[in-house]
Amino acid sequence: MTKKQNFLKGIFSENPVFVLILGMCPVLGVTSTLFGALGMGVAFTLVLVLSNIIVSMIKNFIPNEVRIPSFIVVIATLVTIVQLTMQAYLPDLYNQLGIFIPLIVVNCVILGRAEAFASKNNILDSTIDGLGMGIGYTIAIAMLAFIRELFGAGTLTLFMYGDVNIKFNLIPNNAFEPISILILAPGAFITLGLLLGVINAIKFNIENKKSVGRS
Amino acid sequence: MSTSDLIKLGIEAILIQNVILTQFLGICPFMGVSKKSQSAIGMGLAVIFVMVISSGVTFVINDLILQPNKITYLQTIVFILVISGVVQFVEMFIKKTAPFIYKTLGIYLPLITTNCAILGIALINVQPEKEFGYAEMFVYTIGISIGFTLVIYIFSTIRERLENANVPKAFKGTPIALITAGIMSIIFLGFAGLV
Amino acid sequence: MNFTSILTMTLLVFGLIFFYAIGIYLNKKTPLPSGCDLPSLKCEHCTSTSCSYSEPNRVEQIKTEIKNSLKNKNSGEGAINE
Repeated sequence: MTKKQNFLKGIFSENPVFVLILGMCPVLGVTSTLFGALGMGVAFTLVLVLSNIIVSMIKNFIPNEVRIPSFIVVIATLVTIVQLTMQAYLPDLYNQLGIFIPLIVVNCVILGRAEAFASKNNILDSTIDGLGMGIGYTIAIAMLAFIRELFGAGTLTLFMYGDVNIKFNLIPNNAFEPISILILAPGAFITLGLLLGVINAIKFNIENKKSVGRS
Repeated sequence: MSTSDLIKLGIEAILIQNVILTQFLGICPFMGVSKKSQSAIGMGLAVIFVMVISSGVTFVINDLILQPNKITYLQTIVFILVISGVVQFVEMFIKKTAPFIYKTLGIYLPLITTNCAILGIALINVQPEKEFGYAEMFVYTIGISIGFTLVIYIFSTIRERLENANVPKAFKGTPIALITAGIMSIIFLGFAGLV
Repeated sequence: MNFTSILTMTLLVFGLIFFYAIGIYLNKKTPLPSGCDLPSLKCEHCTSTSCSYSEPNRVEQIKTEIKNSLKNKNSGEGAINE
């Protein structure tokens, strides 16, 4: 596998959200605004890349029996670092994400990548893998948040810090009523379900065309 | 807090702040172990068991060690270690003393370590704005875990029916299950004014 | 930050790591009670490789499933509608 394929597999063919269906709690929980989703994506990517690097560095010193505990300790430490940094410099984002920042620890994507990839490959490959997976995850949750915020509230929040508030109002003069259920809890499930279904349909269509072309 | 307040808190934890449908915690077992109602009940019971024990232990550690020393920023790392350790000890204890319980729950216990509902509730219990004492913590945790069991059981019975339904191919499996969960979530929104 | 709190922190974290490791060790050592052959639980929800209940090679399996179902179909028909 080349480096490019290694990077792109996290975004397309093995996207953690749309293909592997992993780490769903934050996917549903933080996607009511685009800003929350992007912040979560960045925090997640940071933890994933750093944990992949550290795991691939220490893979030779760790006995097989205590593999999982040591990965958990590494990930929990990194999450605490990200959590405290975010609390200090981006308090608005920290308050919005709330409990989902510490819950990155139990996100099965990170533990899964540490075990399935980083503990078997060298540092460079693991970094690329972490970056690809993290970006794939960010794209997926940003897509979900884009749909939910656009149709649910009619706005797109890009940044929020103190007085700085970059927010686009995309429905001028309340031209139509936004579907407010989309930013409530049920909207998360329904939007993700529909999105997965549409992606499946596109995937089947592509496979279908390929097999028609071959025969 | 009086008894009636505690009962209110319990009902709120089961229905209004339902852990899966409104707080989005524990989605992984909710989608993964709900194909059959029997396994859903097993998972629910295991979650009640582990959640009560681990929330109690983490609450005590937070109260006695982390708070007095002002090191509450260690909560994440301490709690995940405590939960993982407690799960191991609970499994061992059940293996030795109650083979019958192990037969029904043993298979779900290792799945629970990476269940975000357990860590999530442990962290929610110690949030300063909640101002929980021991009684409130206990009632809230039991309510939340009963809510989890209730929802995963209802969902599994729906999914058993869904197996026979004529669903478009692209929506089979997870997509239609998520939409079903969304409709359940709308129903649970209706409980919002209950307490 | 004084000396006591640093000491507590170190002791606490390393104590807990030790507690977890001991837990795993003792749990592995404890034999299964007799007559408790756990039924195999196949979780088909996600493709996590670290979860002991998900099937290995789930991604490949899904791909072959899709391919097989497409082969069986007439080429003109859409795969989405059944």
